[in-house]
Amino acid sequence: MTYILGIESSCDETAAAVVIDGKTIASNVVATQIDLHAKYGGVFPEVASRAHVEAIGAVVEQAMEDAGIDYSQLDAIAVTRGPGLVGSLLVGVNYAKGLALSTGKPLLGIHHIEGHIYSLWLTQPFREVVFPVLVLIVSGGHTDLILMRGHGQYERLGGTLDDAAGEAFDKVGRLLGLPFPGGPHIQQAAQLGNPTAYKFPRAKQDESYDFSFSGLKTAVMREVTVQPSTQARSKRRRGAEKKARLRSDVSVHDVAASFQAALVDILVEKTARAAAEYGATEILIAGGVSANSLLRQQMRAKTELPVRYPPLNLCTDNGAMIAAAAHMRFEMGLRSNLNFEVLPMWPLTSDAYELADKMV
Amino acid sequence: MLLAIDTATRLLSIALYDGCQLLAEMTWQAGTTHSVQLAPAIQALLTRAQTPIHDIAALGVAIGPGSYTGVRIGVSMAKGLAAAHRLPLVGVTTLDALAAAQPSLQSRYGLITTVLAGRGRVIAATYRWSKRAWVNRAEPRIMEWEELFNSIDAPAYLSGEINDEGYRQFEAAQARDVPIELMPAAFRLRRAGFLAQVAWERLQNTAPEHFKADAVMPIYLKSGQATATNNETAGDSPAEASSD
Repeated sequence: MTYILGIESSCDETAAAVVIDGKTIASNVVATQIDLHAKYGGVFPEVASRAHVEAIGAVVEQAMEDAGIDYSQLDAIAVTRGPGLVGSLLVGVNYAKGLALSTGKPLLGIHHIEGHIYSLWLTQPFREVVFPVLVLIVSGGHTDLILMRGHGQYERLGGTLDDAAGEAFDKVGRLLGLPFPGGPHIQQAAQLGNPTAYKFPRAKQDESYDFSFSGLKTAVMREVTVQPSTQARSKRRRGAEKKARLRSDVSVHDVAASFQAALVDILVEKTARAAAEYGATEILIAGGVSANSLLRQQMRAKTELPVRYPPLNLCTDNGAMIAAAAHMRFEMGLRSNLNFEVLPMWPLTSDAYELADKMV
Repeated sequence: MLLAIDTATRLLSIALYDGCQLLAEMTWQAGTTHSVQLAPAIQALLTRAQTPIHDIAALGVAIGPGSYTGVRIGVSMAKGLAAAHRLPLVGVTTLDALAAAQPSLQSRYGLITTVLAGRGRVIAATYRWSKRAWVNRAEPRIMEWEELFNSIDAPAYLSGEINDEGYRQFEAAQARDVPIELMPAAFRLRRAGFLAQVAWERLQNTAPEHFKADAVMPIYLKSGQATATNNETAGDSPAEASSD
């Protein structure tokens, strides 16, 4: 049996987990910073870095204790190398390097998105996956359509041209006066709303597999906020939704439901089309937004293919997914040197790990 | 054996101390490559001193003031090193480590230690000589170099990091008879060997359970709580003292 400790600190969760053979979760500990960032309406990098360095020791220790094993029983130590916030990544990576140095265990720097994908291998471990499969990654930082032809083989078909899906949820949530993070709160508000109350724009009907959410966000803003005066409008810049005022006659529930329906339509339409075009055997959804129940439901409704998504506790960032991806990489022979640098930007491609050391 | 780590500014320093002798020490300007250089350097230091990693029984680390990111790299590394064997970890401030390295040449002289802060500023603390050691007199503050030299009211040695602007201001202060003397460059270098000794002494005087690695936190000077001044700048570091 292979025991891998996975450490994740790329954004606003400090997380660690022990996974056996890339399939069985022996422990999974997550310290979330949601409360710290709520007042900013988004993740504030310096605050995130501070919280990571404060939490990481206790989180890793708890993961080892829950797993009931000693550090000497580990086969490898894995850590998120990127992409993510540089200050946050540095905490996890240097902690993992120290741990690897003191225990003599192999160290593996893992791609965060690959971790999200391999969280799917933690859910139904006894089912063989027949490639190719289509992966939709949807989170606060990422929206990508990826065709997987084999383990570690990724072809990016498209991605967001502007905001990530989770970011769009956060921004519209803020506009509607809902707490951070937007996703779960909009979903909750939408339950009481009419999804056809507003006709928000869907994706452009083009051939590409790229997404765009800024048009949708702007449409929501135009629909529900007090129109700024001409003078104010001329000064408008990126992030104007943060200062926009909600009109008193709009129903937050209806806007939430209509926005969510539009965003889910955009995601589902392109994903289903890509799956059909590339002959995927199934559709995998991962990342924080994969927790959205309308997305899960619509994806199942719009395609004949099996649709898989992680259980709710594995949708958001966690250490188990890093350990799961690390298991696959460990079997393929990956070993990272102690001098590896974090990669805040790191495209997920079939040769991502070969290119990683040349990117610095 | 105690391993000391200092990555608090552009400098990187590591040292191995056995309570009696300093077995090895490496100190150099690493710029902003600490995260790349630190782990292999520790490995190299141990190899050169022919010390197996499991001989390390305690750790010392610089907790700032300095660059927020730099300090976090060292503290994260130290916590990782401490974790598997629950080693005690002693956090030492950069300015205290510097003070520990300075001799007292003239008894009426005080001491000012410095580290470089972001935006051309300096972080300084003052010490007085008492019972054969430098005792901290005032909490560290971030300021402009000019302000530092204007605030000197008694004879003092200056030691620690200095930049071109600091050196200009130092010469200007000397020209107007401010009683300040610059320590030689070798004394001004913040060496982990001294940090190791400070950490070791604290370990001898206090029970090790007071040095749990989890409890060690960086010092964030001035902005004790990071705040977003406005939403437009969200994403920038609010780090007043960050030098990178």
